[in-house]
Amino acid sequence: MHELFLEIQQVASGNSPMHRLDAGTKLLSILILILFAVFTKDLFSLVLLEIFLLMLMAASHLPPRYVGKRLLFVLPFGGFLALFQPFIREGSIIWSFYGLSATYEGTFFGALLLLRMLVCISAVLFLSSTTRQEDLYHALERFKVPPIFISLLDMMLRHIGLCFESLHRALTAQKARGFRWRKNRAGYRFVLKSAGNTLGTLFVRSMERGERIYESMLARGYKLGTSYSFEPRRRANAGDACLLLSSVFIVVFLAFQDRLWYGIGLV
Amino acid sequence: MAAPNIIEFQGAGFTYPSGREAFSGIDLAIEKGGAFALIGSNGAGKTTLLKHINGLLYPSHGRVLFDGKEVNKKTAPGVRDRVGFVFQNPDDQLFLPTVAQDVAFGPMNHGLDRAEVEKRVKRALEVVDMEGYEGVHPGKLSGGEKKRVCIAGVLALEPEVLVFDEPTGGLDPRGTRDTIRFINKLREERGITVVIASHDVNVIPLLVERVAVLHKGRLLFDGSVRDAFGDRGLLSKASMVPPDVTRLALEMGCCPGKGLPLTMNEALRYFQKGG
Repeated sequence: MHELFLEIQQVASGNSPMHRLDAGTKLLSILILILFAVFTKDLFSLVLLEIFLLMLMAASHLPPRYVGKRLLFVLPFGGFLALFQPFIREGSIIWSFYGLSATYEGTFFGALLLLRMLVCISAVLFLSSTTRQEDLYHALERFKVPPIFISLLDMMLRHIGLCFESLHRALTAQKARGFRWRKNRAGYRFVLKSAGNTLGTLFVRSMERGERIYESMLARGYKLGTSYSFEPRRRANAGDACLLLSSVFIVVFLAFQDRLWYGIGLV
Repeated sequence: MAAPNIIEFQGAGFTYPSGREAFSGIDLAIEKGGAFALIGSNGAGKTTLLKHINGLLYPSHGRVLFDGKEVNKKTAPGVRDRVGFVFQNPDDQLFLPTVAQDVAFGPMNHGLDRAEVEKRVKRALEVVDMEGYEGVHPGKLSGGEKKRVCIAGVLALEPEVLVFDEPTGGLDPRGTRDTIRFINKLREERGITVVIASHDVNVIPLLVERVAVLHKGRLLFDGSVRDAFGDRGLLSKASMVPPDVTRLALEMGCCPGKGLPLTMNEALRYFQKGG
């Protein structure tokens, strides 16, 4: 897990045309795409949107393995939810098996759910893999997001890294004293107990560490709302406009391509 | 006849997944029952090298042997049963609600029965003078006490080799003195092989006879502690300084070679003799 987290930061500091775009523009663009994905009921639109996002990621030179690994994360969570839908939604039955019946409406809804999640995660992945954290905070600042939210986001991301690091060190120390997850010689209950205690200790330590870090920030004059950017603001350029306009265009096109406004439910 | 080697590095090198090289081309042999220190500045690669001894890491090239057998994924669990590893930061090791449970963690992993585990916990806590702390939460202990519980937790495994990463780091003078005493006692009474990584030059002569100097992942020196600390060229190349008393003796331009004092007692003897 720790490696996955570090990898995002490494990839995000890359240098492609997409990386160089303004963080605010990227944020706005993916917000538009996500909003559309959440409201549309058209599977075809979602597929097209996903293709558009994959094209953006290709333009960002993101390694295919890196993207694939993260998109697969949709499956254990979203896939599980989607899998149930055909059996719990009412509608016209398409097949039944020992009293368990799948409906057309349920299958459609399951597919819609899965595609929506895929598009949303792709959008967020594109943003987080092409934008450095501090640029994103700066963009949020410009969008007048309250400083407390930005601070929370920043602290959370920093502490995830620290948390994984201390978990990793604790597990190493346990391994050195002969701890094994599988075939532990002290039995399965002992493994569960150790895992529980490790997690508990991790929580307490993280809290204490969080306090220490906060105190050291205060000692260095930190105040809520301290600006995150020390680089001069760059004016939006043609590239930024291009991304924003193409996102707006694709959303409008998808919304119109079926019946007028059907997708976002304004009819 | 020299004792057989228990740990051997043969042209070992390690590169992190990120591509950064920790060390390379390391040839080292540590003999059974010996006391050996790896010294070097911060970031020299000491901790990473130590972790190869019990297979917490495996070399990217070359080999690491323990008792004549290569340390790899298959042999590592067996090696870990015989090598105790005391980490630099006690908080990485202590995670159970009481001192006794934490010391019992290793023996439990070895699948020992309850009576034997209890016996070992008692004995280990005795060695480090921590009897009576069995039911205390490790979070309530001082830094020095935590360190002692960590040492007990490793001793309870009755290892043949003890590896210490910065054994005196962050300890007060009393904690430092106690730790030195425990380590020397273990060597004398049980014949345990001791391997230490440290940059605390004042403590090293009190613990070991042999040192290797690591700098930026390369081995600069492997030999007696007196030769290492008498060689200012070597030390400055490794961004290190000799122990305080040695430095004083060198600055005063006296006692070259074999007579060079490394510890306070040696210096006292030397100056009492009238220099």
